[in-house]
Amino acid sequence: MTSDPDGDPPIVDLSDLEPCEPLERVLEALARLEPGGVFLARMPRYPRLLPDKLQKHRDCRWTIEEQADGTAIVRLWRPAQ
Amino acid sequence: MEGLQPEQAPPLSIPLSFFTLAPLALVAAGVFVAASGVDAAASRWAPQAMATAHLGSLGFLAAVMFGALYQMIPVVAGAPVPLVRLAHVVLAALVAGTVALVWGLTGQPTALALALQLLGAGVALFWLPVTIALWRAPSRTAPVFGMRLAVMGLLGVTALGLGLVYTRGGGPLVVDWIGWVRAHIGVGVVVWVGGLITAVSWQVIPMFYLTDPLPRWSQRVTLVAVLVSLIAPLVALGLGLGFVSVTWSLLPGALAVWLLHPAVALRALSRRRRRRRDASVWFWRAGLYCAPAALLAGVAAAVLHDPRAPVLFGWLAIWGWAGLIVHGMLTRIIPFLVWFHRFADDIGRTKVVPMRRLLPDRWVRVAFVAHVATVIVGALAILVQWGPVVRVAGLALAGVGLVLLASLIRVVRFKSGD
Repeated sequence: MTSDPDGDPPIVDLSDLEPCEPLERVLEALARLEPGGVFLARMPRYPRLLPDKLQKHRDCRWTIEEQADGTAIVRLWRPAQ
Repeated sequence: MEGLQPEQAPPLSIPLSFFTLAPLALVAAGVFVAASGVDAAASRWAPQAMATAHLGSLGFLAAVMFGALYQMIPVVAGAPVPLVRLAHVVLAALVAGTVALVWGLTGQPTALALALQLLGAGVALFWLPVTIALWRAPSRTAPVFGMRLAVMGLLGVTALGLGLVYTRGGGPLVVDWIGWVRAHIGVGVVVWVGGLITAVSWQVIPMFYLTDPLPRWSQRVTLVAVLVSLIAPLVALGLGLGFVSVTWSLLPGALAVWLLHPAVALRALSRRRRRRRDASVWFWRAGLYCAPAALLAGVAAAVLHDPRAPVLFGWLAIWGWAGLIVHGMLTRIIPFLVWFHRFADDIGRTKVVPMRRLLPDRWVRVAFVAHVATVIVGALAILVQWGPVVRVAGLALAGVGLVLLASLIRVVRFKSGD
């Protein structure tokens, strides 16, 4: 895990997991996410199939940023109510 | 870079329907070889040998490759395949065309005209949307370039094959018959099959097996060599340079696909970061080890006058090298797709079945042993030319198909809540 300078929680490193474990871990984290909570994860590569699943959770927001080394950072958050 | 929109990804039924054809073709080919006996192994010109090769190359390999491209192009290249539901028509044409071709080659020449139309239409309906998607793709990676080359190879092998069918049915198209046949086989195996296997491996070996990426220089060399082996045989045919020139023009791609790629891929697989027991890796390794044997048999077929050499080459290339790799990939891709479409949405709501439970590794190990034993027995049967061994090889091939079919049924029967 590495810390994020903006006060976000540590980045969970999923880059050494085989498919479909990273996807599974992100969706599990999303299910546990409280309102106002944030989850960050490093994926092995840009997860093209993940947005399809995230779109179904209308109460959460997310961004995916591809990194220079080919990995991608997923940021999930659930707005405070 | 954007994620996939739900409407961009193909429905599960599209790749699955193509993948379902694979075990059925294996069973059909196996039963056909068992029924034909030594006639299926005597010479490449024997109708039974040609029919068996096309059950493998169309019914097994092309079916899986079509299904995989429909699935992979949106995911790997980032571009949806337009009119993707045409895939159902493509599948019907591929099945009917393959049956008509086998029927036409083995006894009913009038069926060749039907095969010509069905396979021509089926490949065209597949090729056009897939090519449009690949050329629109925002991704500029080596796997995408490799896929583009492979689909150009599909166009080449189909055009050459349809020319052969047309001529065999009485048309006057083909002058240099042997050169045309060698270009058809070479472009098909090296560019279409080899181009796609290498391109897909650059994506899936690091992804599925947590290896370092395959070296970029090897990807570039392979792309250039395969491109040469796409263009050069067609130029040699067009200029009337004769079948010897056609044959040697295929060598760069053959060396890249059957020597360079196995070397770098096996090296990468030996350095997996997470050494979990996984029989699909065994399929990759066995297929890659089979590649140089296929190359040797191919060279023997080109330079020797032994009629067994081309048959051995076909057996090792279709059922050995490509067959093992494709079979192994199916054991990973089918459980993944079923899990993704049926179970991923339930995560966090209910206890979700792990993907690996859909197809336990012991099932894959059984399939692996059966497939490798079949390749060995078949190669022996071709070398000894003894009918009973050929029949055993045929039955073993049918057995591999049944094991794959049982695996597929097991995975597909899993439903949410199991």
